[in-house]
Amino acid sequence: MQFTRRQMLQLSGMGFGALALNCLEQQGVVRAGEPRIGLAPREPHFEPRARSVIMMMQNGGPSQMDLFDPKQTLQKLNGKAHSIKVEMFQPGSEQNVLLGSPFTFKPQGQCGTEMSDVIPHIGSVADELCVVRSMHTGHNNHTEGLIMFMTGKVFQGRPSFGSWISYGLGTLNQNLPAYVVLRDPKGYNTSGTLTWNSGFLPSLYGGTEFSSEGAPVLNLNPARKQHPGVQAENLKLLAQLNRRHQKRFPRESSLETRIQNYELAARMQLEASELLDISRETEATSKLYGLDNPTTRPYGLRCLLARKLVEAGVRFVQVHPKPTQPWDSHSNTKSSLAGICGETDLPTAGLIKDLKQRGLLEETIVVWSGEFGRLPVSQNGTGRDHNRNAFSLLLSGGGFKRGITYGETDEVGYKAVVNRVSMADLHGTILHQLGLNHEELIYENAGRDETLTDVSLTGASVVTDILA
Amino acid sequence: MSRSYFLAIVLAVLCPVAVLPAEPAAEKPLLFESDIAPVLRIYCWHCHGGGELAAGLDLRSQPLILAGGTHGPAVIPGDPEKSLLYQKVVQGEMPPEKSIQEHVVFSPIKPTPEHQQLLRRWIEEGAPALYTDRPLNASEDPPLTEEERQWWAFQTPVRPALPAIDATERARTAIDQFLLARMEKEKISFSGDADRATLLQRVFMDLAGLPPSLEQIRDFEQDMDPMAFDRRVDQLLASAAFGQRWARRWLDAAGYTDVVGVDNDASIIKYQEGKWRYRDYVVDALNSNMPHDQFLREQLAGDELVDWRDAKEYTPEIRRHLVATGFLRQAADSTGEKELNTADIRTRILLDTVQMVSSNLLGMTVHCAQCHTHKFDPISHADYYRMVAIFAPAINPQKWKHVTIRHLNTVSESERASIDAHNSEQKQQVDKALAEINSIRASFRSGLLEKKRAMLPQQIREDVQKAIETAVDNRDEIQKYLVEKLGPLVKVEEAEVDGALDEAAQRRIAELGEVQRLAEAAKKQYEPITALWEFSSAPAQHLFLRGEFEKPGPVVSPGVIRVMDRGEKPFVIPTAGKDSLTSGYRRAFAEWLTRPDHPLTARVYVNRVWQRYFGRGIVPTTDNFGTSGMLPSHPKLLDWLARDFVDNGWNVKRLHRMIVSSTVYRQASDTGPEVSEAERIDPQNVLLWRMPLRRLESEIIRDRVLHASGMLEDRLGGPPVPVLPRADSSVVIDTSKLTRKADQYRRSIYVLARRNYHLSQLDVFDQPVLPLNCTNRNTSAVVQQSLIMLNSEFILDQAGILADRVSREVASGSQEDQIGRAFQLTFSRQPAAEEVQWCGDFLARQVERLTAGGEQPTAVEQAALANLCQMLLNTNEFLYVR
Repeated sequence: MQFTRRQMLQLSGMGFGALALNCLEQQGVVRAGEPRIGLAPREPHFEPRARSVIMMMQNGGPSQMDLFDPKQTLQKLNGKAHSIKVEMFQPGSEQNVLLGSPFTFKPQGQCGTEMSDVIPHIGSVADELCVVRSMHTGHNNHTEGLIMFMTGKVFQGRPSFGSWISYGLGTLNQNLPAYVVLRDPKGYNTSGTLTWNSGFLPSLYGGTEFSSEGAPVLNLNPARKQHPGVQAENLKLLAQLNRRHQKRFPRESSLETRIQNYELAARMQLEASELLDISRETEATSKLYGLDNPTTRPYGLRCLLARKLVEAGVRFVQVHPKPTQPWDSHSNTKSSLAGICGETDLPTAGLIKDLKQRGLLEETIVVWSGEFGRLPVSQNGTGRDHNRNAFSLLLSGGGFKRGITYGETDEVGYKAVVNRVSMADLHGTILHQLGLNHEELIYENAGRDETLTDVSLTGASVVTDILA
Repeated sequence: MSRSYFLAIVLAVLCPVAVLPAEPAAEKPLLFESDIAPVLRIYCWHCHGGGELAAGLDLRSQPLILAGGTHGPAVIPGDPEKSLLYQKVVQGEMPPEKSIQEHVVFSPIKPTPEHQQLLRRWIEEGAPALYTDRPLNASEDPPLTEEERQWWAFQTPVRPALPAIDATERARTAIDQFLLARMEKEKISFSGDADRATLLQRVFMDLAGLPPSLEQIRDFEQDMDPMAFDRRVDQLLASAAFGQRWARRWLDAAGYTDVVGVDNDASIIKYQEGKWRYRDYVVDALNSNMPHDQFLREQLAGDELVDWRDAKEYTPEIRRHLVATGFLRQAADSTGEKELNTADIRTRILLDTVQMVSSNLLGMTVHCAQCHTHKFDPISHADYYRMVAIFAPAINPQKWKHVTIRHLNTVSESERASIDAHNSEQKQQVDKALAEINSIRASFRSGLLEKKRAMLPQQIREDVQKAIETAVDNRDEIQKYLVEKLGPLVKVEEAEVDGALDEAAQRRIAELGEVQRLAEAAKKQYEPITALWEFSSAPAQHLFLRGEFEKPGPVVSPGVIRVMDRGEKPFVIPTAGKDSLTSGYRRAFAEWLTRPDHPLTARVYVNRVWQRYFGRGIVPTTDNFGTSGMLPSHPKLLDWLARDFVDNGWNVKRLHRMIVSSTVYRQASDTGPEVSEAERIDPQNVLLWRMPLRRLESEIIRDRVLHASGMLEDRLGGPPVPVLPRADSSVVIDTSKLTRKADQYRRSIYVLARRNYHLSQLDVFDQPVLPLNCTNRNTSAVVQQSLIMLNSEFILDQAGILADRVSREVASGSQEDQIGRAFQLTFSRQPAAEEVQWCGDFLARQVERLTAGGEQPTAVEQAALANLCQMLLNTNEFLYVR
């Protein structure tokens, strides 16, 4: 890694001064106090409204008109050919026949936001939610859609916005990764690690997978059982040998970093294991997240873990419900959504309630969204194909307005038409709530000043209407 | 500009279809870009817009429309009645029904009367457009200023005179003289030479990527011949390990992977057969010391340098040249999937290839000019597309072979035809033999069956037979019962047939088996080569306005970045002969790039090699020799090295030999507790007053572990070692797919290369992800590295194997000797007294702990030794070369 003068100035201007344990080595010796990249907490550009983010990435494309965006016209025209031929992605919707939602919508909470009866628990926290009904994105394929959602562009190679945030703000707990990913241990989403990749940013800003089963972090515990005290002896010998070696290179900071990393590994083992230990959680908590029910338990565990991680100071937590595309309802909308909602609805609401009762919700931005939405016309009879022209997204906490809806789709929910919000707008708005100006969070790569939102191309702007 | 305008651009970039245009106000004059292009995009561009062009007609811009296709101009300005485009639309001939079904996704699905009216009006108004045919304008191709031409990196390097120095006794090579001259200005000098053990260890790690044995070090320490070191350097340069070690960095820069497509899904490895031949080509080229200029020419234009099209048989030389062009086949290509075989993705593959080539070979941020003239450097928007035009005939979005069929074979077409014919003859023989075997066996089987059936009661014999013959799903309850109860009684096993065969039948089957075996063995094979070649004539290359392929601007000729084209003989576009099947553009480009007076090619290359030895390039921004990069710390040294490299035949091994023979390389790396004068003046060691301490690269760490345990397989070449992505996100060698178990221990360069999801052991130590290519790796120190070395299965296994090796090799069984042997195998040195003491104490304590933990008494000592070995693998001493 080489830094140009421009990068150096940028970094020092942003207050990168502290020596972090988890650091990027530079070639050659680094003087103490010289700007370097690390994960130490950094001052934002201005007073932030929130300090951490929980991104509940609903891979597969949840259906907006069956969950958050009621469309009376769609219900009325159920079975009729749509007057507009919609943009298909896969075969199966050639008839272009509108499909009403099999679910019933009712006003929820004090605010009266209408939500579908397939998500009663999310409905029960409607007063905490800002429902953005006018999201749109750039691609109809899961792979590209997910990459665009997390990085802002459809092509791979750019950092996810979690990486940008870790780069911009560092993290508050040096014993844990800054950016943690909680996925189903059974598998990845369609874009795999590309949704939490650091792209051209240094790799330490990438997401670290944290498992709710077995060892929380890969290789955190020995692959084979070890007798008590053996590892401690190992580390003692290692430190002796390393200190002896270090005497010949006393000012080579990377050697010290490595020596300390072994201590960090031990602390991480302890802290991460404690985090995973849910035996001390109360029965009420267990119920809140659905840990007492085998259907909701797996996702519930990840939601609970997400809360514990932000509580412990982790900057960005990304949660995925299930492998591949659990929300991908190409057929049987009713049973398909009933299935995934049954597994995730209660824990999602549980997380928001729990954050609120612990006073964490105000400083935590919760985002719930898929990579795109679905079509108003039927596919394979009762399913729906992908739709990049409209989808709904939930925001909670973190200084967003509560109990509101924002933006509108057309009368059947095909296309966002009022107060459209792009991925770049969303990214810029989230950075804003964290105290970062999206046009000033810059990293120079291959001769170009890169930003998350790339304003000159996307025209991104902060959606001030939804800020409390 | 308004936000919606930007959004429209984004949408235009992202997808071939976009929002319907707003109805233009009646009085507003129409323009192609704002009023006509959005309509044509929906209805026409699938067949007339940058991909395969129906009737040679491209409707992406007004000039292209006026130029027309095979049926003449599509529009006659002012005359809708004579304009084919308008007529075909009005008559409902275009777009054709089939195309509407396949491609049109927005409503209305056919052009409406309003659309027809719009077209008519536009034509009547004279078909106006923002972009009309015009020469390149000043912002697309600004003239070069004298100042721009004067930038140091665009001057041909001239061999500088060697500077005078005081400490002549410290200079072994010209390199040293330049470095010393600079240091002496600061009144500092080189550190003392490293001790011989350190030096030998260092040069082994650098040239072979593997450490020397303690015996080799002792031998070197006692060899007082003045040529002792040089001889060892020569041996290392001559070893196959040299190519295996140095190829990896070139493969990074080329963006080499064994997979097709973007490689998004961890669990799906889209392996591309035969791509590995390019990797072997690079290793072989380094090992045979192919001159670097030839190496570049073969990779850029191998297909244009040998006459493979007319060759009756491929010679090894032809094969090598074709394999070399795999260099240009590394961009992520998803066009094997039908939905992704679109004009925008094809175009991206072309642009990505140009970006990979330019960032690797030119050391400039050339790709910035993809959308606009470079902001800092004199690289114009047009320059960029001139370079694109060089590659476009072979990567032509309008004439495409998708990735799964875009390959040549290891044999010529005529050889392939004769092999196919030969193999089909062999297959006929095999089939014939098999048929006869089957019929012999069938006759014996039916005899057996008759006998068995005769044992069933007469009344149900027929029913049982019928039940057995009925498909499983169609059997009724009775039939199911019959099959279940009586089926086994009338079943004839193959073994029973074997036993029933008479002697004549056995003899005949044996004969036929031999016929079959011989025919199988006689089959000949050929395999795919992932090559690049031209199979269409050169397309007109347009400059893409704002970098968007849907906005073709003026046509540019193939060419090179003007400011780099400095010789007395400028780059000339070759004119291919009438019968030539290839444009010769890439060959001309390669020849230009490797001209002895090229300002950048050699500088960029020697600077990268230098950076890998000293951790920092002479130009520290190894990718950016432009005005926004950093200036060289030793400009004259850089020029001297570049000149010397070129003037001596681009001799790569010579360059390496010179560097490692220099005093700068042979210095000690340690600083000790006191801050020296040199360190005070130059704490970053820019002047190289000591050899830097360097962390080993990911592949070398893994290879070194395997070397210590004695498991390393160092054989050369062949298909990659398969990897297995596991559910817990780790990636390991897929031992279930190995034909030879020992292959799991091959050198890391042979592990299957993906864009993402690398072998975990390599991934955590910074093996780069490759959306494109990587010219400079990061060296991080993240905690995951400590975790994998402490806890992973691979390291635990290897530590155990190493411990077994230690106890096997120490005949005395003495603990002290075991400690000594473990140090020899990991560090190529003997332990110091205090280290023996620490390790002895450690073993004793570990034995106690293990015993207390309930470990088998017989296994306790070996387990403790394995712990010791593992900790040695974890030390900084093991991970760094000093």
